[in-house]
Amino acid sequence: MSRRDEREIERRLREVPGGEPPGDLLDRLRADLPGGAALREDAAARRRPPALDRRWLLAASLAAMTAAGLLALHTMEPVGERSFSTAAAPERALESPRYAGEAPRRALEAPAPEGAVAPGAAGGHFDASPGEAPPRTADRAGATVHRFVAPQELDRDAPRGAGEVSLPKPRQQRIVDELAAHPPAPAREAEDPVVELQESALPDARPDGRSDARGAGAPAARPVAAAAAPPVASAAPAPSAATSMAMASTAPRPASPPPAARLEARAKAAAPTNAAPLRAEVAVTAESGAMAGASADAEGGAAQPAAPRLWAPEVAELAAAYDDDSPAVDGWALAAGGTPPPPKVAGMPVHGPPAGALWVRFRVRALDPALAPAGSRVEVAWTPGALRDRRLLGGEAGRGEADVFPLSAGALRRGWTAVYEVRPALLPRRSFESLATLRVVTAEGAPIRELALPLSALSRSWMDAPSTLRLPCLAAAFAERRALGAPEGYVDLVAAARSLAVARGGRPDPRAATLLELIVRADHVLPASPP
Amino acid sequence: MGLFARRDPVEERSGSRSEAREDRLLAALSGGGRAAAERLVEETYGRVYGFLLKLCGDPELAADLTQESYRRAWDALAGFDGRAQFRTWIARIAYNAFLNHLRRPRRLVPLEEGQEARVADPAPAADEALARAATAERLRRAVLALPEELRFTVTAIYWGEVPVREVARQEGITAVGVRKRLKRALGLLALALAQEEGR
Repeated sequence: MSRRDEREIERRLREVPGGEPPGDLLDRLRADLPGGAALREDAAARRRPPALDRRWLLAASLAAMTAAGLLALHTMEPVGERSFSTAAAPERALESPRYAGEAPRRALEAPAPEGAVAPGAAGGHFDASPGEAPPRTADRAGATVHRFVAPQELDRDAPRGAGEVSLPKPRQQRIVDELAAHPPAPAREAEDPVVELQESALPDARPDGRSDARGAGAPAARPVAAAAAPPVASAAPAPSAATSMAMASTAPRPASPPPAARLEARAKAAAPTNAAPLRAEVAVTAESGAMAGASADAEGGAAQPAAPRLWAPEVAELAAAYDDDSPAVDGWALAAGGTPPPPKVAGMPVHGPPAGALWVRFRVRALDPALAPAGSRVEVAWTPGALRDRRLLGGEAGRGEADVFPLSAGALRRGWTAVYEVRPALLPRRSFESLATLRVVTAEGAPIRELALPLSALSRSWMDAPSTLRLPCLAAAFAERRALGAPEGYVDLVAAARSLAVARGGRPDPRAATLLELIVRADHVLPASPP
Repeated sequence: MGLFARRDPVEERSGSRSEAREDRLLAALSGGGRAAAERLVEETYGRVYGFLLKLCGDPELAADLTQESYRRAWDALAGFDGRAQFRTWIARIAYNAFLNHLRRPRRLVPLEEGQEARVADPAPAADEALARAATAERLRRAVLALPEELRFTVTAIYWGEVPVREVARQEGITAVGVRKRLKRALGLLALALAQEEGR
């Protein structure tokens, strides 16, 4: 009914004819008055003015609001050393003030992609059994932290709950196992061998005078400094190209835990200048012959600098694990008779520090043994003058203009991925100018395929880059930092993983959520009392 | 005046004054004062009569129902709890008396006969009076066909001149609830009148 009709009905109702009462009606009514009419005694007293009722309502409302406020204050007050529940620990890590400004807030609130496991639903928790203080260690800032307990450790104590998760990929599960087996970064011993490294074109100057090639200080000063520190050692020659290839290949990891075979060497910077030699902290693996020699030298007390290698197999393996999207979309098929391969080298700005750095991914997959026989190798040739410095994630900083990687049988089968962190010199004026060229050559050096990385292949920002590029790059960065003990934590990587886990275009990527979960698990060091 | 229009402050103050005067009369009545009872009747019987006249459309019947309503009121005066004003209370009694009258078939006066009796007067505006009477009768019939809760609300407010707040007190609901009832009732009335006039 319209308002007009409503008014019309009202008008009609009011216009219903009334009339004055007849003259004798009042006399009839007076005659009917009872002699002893009396109100009920409390009738008048019951008549309370409406204002009184409203006052009561107002008072009741104020009382309810006050009670609600007190209850809210009581609920939100700090709980101190409360035990960490299964869901609370990663959630607390996500909400840590350390991440403020590191990630978009919407990433914090992003729903877990469908089919993926939310970080907070992971099976791990922070051990704080009743009646017993939770196991603690000290982080680099001296704050009390709690030891992270992985799901498989929970199995011994309690049945698996509904909130636990089974990770889909064996590689990821293994990383989780290692996270539990070797939780904190090992404390640096004073008697660690020292490796003299040459100056860096981009010295990682730290306030305390030390320069850590792996960025023990602020994340902003972390990675490229190591890349820019060509390890022209005082004694040992630079490793051969074959040695470098072992670093970035997808060679299977040894059965024994990698940290047992790892030798950490620490170098102390003499002066944080370009001209002075730097002392950089490096991790040396014994998985190759060169590494074994370096280990022996180190154990013998003689600082024999090997290549500053990291856990390259693990890094490359995890990067390849997150780089397994459909070859039809992004792969470079070298099968005979195949169509010209689409670009498979790409890059994007690094999420967070260091500023101005790029992550560049080179990828080869679905190699046909007929075209790429055993002994084939991949060469990444950098355009002279295009870069200020470069560093292979999980590998060594490049020294020459080309890095060479052998293609093992596993690489031929599973594919090969290498992620670099580079800082370009000056951006090329023309977009077709390339930063690097990826070549696949036979053992004899015959070219099989060659692909350039032009400037146009670089994404303008981290957020604009496709998830198929961000995932392997982030996985490589995570694996590298974890292998190094993550002295600087995973703050920036958690932020990047969060931004990656946000659904883009309505298509959430469950692998991004899984990677976020892994990184959050790794970032188990929580200050006992946040600032 | 719209249903959701704010109350006139003048009306608000006058209502408060009438309430205060009514309270004084009730207080005097509680002491057994006949003069207070007479004063109370003098102040309220015209409105009760008009209310009943609009309900039934018959002046004689309205006078009879007014007298019956006050008799019932004096009998039930001990049950007046004072939640609503006396005029609201007596309006409800009058409304119930009208309903009881409708339930007595022998006393029902055919409305058509009543109309015929009135329009037989050879007044100059006979046609106009006839039209108004016919319109009022259709409206009255539509009002009486409303559901009980809507019917009392409509008649008390528009014919009994009972404020919305008083109806709310009487019915035990909020003023917003009363206005919702009114809106619903007006919608039903519009529908019923449209059907009847289109017939």
